[in-house]
Amino acid sequence: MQKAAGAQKQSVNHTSPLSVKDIVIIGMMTAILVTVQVALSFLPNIELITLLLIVFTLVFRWRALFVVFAFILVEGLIYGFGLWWFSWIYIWPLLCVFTMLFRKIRSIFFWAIASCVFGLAFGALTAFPILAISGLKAAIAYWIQGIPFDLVHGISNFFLALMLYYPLYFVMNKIYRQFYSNDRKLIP
Amino acid sequence: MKNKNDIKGAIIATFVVALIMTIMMITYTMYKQPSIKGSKSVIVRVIVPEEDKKYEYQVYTDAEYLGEALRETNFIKGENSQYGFYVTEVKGIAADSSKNQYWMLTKKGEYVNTGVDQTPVYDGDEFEFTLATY
Repeated sequence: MQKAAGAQKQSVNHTSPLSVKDIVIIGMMTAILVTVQVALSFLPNIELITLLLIVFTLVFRWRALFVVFAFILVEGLIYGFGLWWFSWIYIWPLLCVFTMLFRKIRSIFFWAIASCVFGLAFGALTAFPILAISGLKAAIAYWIQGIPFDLVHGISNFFLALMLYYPLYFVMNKIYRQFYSNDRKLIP
Repeated sequence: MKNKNDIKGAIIATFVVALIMTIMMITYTMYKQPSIKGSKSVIVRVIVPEEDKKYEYQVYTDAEYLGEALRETNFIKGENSQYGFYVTEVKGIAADSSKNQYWMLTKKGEYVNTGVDQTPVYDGDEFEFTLATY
């Protein structure tokens, strides 16, 4: 028993920023994101990535950034590293940073509205690589052409968050508590 | 008190989001046309001399060649021959080969030496399809 406690203490004091548990959690969450993305890919702009990332960030905090970059890399490997991929490098981490900034807010309506605004802004956010390559006119044309998709994205994000925020948060929180129950000190 | 503020915040947030959506919709309806219709505007006239009829159409396209631009809107129909795409029908009017009819393609009245798939399309071009006999 004492030996186990000693090992526990050692793991708390290690210098690496990620513990084995963190790596496992990051792998699992990345797998969930990729699976959900591929499963819903036949529906244009209806996705659960936004809500899942918000919940991951609320529950797993900074670990979500590792999840998001692993997810982006896997998506690139599946669909190819197109222009869209370069916009994903900053779009999804931006969502994580935004969620971290407002992590104390637990209101479902706040996160539903945040998901909605994120969905509405998605087209504009993906236009930045086009702005860099083809200029402002092309970027604006690209954004305008995608507005119907952005509207679908925003509205679907809003309702998905209203429906699934609590169940997802409940499940993730449960996983988090069970997974990290032995090393509370690691929890930031 | 907190609850009241929450409701107020929710109403304001909903209003702001609804406003953003309306602005996006208006922007889309006002500026969508060039990108949806295609960036090049081409006038295509269909002339049937026998019946003394002349129709004029405006075609919007992003296609590089006339054949592609007209096929994507079902403007023309035809068949692939060893010499390229052979136009048999324009806007539902078929050329009757038993009457030696064919569709002659001209650009601003001048005979085009290329087939529809080799004729490039530029913004402001004017083409004529005339039901001619040989």
